Amino acid sequence: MIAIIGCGNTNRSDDGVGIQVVKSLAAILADSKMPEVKLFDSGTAGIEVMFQARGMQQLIVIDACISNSEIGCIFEVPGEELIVEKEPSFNLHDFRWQHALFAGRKIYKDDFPKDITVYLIEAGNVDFGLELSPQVQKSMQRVVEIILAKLRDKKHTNATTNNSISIKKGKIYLSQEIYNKYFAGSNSAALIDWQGQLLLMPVVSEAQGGLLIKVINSRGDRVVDAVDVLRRLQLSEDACYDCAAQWSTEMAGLLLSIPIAKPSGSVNA
Amino acid sequence: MANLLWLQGGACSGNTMSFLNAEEPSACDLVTDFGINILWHPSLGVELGDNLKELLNDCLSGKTKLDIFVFEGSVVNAPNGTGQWNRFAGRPMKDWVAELSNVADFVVAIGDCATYGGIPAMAPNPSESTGLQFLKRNHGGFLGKDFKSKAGLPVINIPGCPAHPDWVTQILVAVATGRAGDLSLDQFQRPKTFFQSFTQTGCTRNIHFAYKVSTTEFGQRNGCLFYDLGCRGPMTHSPCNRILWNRQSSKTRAGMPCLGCTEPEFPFFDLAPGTVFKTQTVMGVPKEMPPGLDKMRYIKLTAAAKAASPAWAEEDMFVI
Amino acid sequence: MSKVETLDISPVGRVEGDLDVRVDIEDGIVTNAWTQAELFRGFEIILKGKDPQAGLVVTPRACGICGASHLTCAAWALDTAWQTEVPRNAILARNLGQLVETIQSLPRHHYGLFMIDMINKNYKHSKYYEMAVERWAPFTGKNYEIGVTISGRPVEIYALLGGQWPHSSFMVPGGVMCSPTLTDITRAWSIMEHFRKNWLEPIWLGCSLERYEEIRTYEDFLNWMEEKEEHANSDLAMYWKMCCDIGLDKYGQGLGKYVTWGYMPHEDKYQKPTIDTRNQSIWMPSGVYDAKTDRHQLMSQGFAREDVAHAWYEESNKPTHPFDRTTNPIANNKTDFDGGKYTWATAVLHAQEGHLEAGPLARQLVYGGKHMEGWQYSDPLVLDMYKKMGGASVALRHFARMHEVKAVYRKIEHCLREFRLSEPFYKKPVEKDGRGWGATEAARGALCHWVEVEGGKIKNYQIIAPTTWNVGPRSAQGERGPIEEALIGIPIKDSRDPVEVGHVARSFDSCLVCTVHAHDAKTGQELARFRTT
Repeated sequence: MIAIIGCGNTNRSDDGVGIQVVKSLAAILADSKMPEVKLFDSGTAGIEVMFQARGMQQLIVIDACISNSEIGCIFEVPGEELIVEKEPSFNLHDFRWQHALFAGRKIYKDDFPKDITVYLIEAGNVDFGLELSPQVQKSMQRVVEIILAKLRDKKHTNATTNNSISIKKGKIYLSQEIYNKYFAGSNSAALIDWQGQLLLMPVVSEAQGGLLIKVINSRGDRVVDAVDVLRRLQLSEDACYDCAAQWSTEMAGLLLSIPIAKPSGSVNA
Repeated sequence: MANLLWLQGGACSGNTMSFLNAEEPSACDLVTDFGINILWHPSLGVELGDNLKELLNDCLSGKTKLDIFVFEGSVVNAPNGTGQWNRFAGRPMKDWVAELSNVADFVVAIGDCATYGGIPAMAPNPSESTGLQFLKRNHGGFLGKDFKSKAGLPVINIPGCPAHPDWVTQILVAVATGRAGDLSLDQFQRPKTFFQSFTQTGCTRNIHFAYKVSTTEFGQRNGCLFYDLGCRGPMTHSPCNRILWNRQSSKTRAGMPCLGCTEPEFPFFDLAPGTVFKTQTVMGVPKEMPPGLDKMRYIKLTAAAKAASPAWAEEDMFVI
Repeated sequence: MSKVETLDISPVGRVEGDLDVRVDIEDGIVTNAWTQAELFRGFEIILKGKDPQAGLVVTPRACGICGASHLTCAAWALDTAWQTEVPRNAILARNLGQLVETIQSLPRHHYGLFMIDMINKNYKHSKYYEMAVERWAPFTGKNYEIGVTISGRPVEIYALLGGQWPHSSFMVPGGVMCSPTLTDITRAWSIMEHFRKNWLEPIWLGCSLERYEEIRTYEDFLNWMEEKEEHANSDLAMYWKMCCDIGLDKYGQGLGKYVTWGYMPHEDKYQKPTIDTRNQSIWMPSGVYDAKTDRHQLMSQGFAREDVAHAWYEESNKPTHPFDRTTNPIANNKTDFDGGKYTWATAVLHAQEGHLEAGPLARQLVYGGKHMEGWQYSDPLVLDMYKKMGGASVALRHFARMHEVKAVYRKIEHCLREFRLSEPFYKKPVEKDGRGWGATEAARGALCHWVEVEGGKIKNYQIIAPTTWNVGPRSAQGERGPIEEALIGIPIKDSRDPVEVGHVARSFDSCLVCTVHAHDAKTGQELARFRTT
């Protein structure tokens, strides 16, 4: 499921642009039957982002920004870039969404979206007022279009794959459901670079080796730390890849489609 | 909620330090997510003096349930079996160990010293050290070979000098989540998940092993460390090259020969002169071979490998 | 006359190994103290007769926390004994291994060991208490988790060099076993950058490392704390303010005499290592500082002595150089605090100065001197604070430790910059007989190994660890050991929970497991009685 959250103060003109995006989307999606999308107006309560995003696979945050750029500029920023830990202070008002993302990851761990995109729109006027500047109004509509296009793609991929698996910091995350469905009983897996895809095969006998499938939380989600294999494939360690996964009966393993930067054809025992 | 108590005998804290490097789950995750309640740990405990004695006595009396008893380090029996050389909270550590092992649901030995006696138990074993249920290869150790903890399992041994944090956390998770029954242990009571495959499994130097290209001196990026530098990777059971250390590398990958530290004989040959970082050979053939190989097969294998080895195998393939 | 209450505290947890302390308390103040080291191991007995390189395997395992320091000493000891040549790259790789282990130890000791005491119930009244719980409570405190987690990062660099941390033996006479590639070096850079951007600057300092480096005096430090909200809110400033609030700046003074061997051999000046030229070839200078006379002098291994008057050994009555000792432990160790023997630790002394305190405070006070060469490291801050605050305290001793992050971080950068990847990392040495000595500074203080190789075997191996200096008992003259002395004058609020003693013990970061002293009998007969039949 995907959460789309608008942030900002609608009483301060352009500062409310994120809320406007969400409102427009709500109007458009009202009868489009997209139950996998959750829209939320977080306003100035940054901490709410944490609670609203919990359990989602994907998160989109929209906010205004003041970066001395041209008014109306749109920035599409991966969440990784903006997440920061809350500096200590004595009130909760300055607990912003970027802190909420940090806290959410910390607290909810795998139950918090790994795929986070933030749309920032450069504000022109943040004085008291309810109207957006013309440039910001335009950008607002543009962001709505971008997000709609994204949702359409998402719908398309969802239809053709049955699972999604994320790869982050050299680790492959398997939900408890996927583990139980395909890997139940195995403590290790072999990871093979196979015809431009990654093949993750459960290993049955301990003596065969393989990468350890670690239990990482009480729910029973697993992780396979394959840092050296993924490094060899030149996957960025900072990026998060969401990849479609499909069980291949022929290969007796889970096929992961990810953009492989440099095929190497070798096997990790 | 599972109560865990971690004590150290003749130890260097290396396993504790290794454990603190754990990630996913981290030591903190074990507490916050898996509900492991660390009653006390020498590096993390808050209690001092009398408060600690009270805590230990509460475990013994059953007032506090002791689910997991983790022991790191050797059991010191010197002098003359009294254990006075390693006292803890007012009495010999070995007495605490004996009594706590009897009240704990599970007993886990972490590291070589707790498993086999390790380095302190090397001849002449001045501290009369032993592991919890083994002394080197001999079954028995401090608790005796018939020992079973309250849950009916022998001591779960996680050897290694130190043990890798993932080996430790995954076993603690299994125990804390009631899946200890799924653990299958080998003859040294090591979890098979980790100790069935060899250290060599996954080593980046395997290709050089196959073509018998030797690393003849330290500091070479190429070659296999088995032929000249005494690497025990092919004979040692551990997952060091498939569960990387500090998520980066392994000794053999970096160029340091495996010392075989998950096996009961470590340190091998009692570090006799001429045995350190040198392959022991008889007429050019290693005295110890990968399991299942004999001298004839070894000679056939290496002769064929050498003959078949392509030119590039001798060239530096890990370029700067 | 007031009543003297005697308190036995066993064990003072959270210093590695088991340290027992006895204190006499009069009117709530400690008036006398004894430290007792409980654990006997026997690495030196084990090493006798072994392969000369056995020290490289065994001694890093003497301590799981400063294994790289032991390895450094073991390697340099053999280098000086075998008169090897050590390539430039190898010196850098050794230094780097040592440095990343030290920097790892800073947040780990701080959050994992030292700060836990700050949430003791005795400090509930402090205005910083709530903040302390929120930040530093074990496992649940916000910065506790960050600090403990981040401490795992620098040793990833050690793993790049040595395959793993702890307990690698990648340093060997003649160099190192590894030969890192460019990817290893760039990965190391990014690991350090991560350390800096995720803990060092945002959480620990609240400012850039560059800004922190501008602090040269006590006044600078106090001004820095108030300069910006970020500074004032940093873990460093909060540590300092809470220390002052709960009085940690008032006790834990100690002897006022300090020692460091110095460390980090210069990559160009120490390629032909000898014992005698070491002092002129190290980046971080050696020295002894005596606060009473405000005098700095160089330190050398020839000054080291051991005194067993109050330790469980039957040996010469005169202090002996460690190398000339025939270690002879007493099997029936009975504790006698009343003028007798009461510990396994010997009193390690300077031939002229007597007991000396080792550790980061000692290093920092020596860096404030003028006795070193111009290219060697110097830093006046801690000596300035020491003088203006009227000597040492728990607060300053721990501050000195954490202050080292600055020098260590920069020296790590130096090593990474200086590698020449196409040049060798190892030069095969010729094995020979001889005497060697290798020294370094572990995070917690001065460490050194002596080795004597005869007939291709180890004839004698001796180790003096930082804690051997600090946790030693009284000397024959009755001078208390460094920690014993530092315990004097402590106010004990609740003798059921003497957290104050813990503060002092932990400010030394004692590590008893590496107090390596044991039997070294010349005949097998003497050894026999240690065996179980």
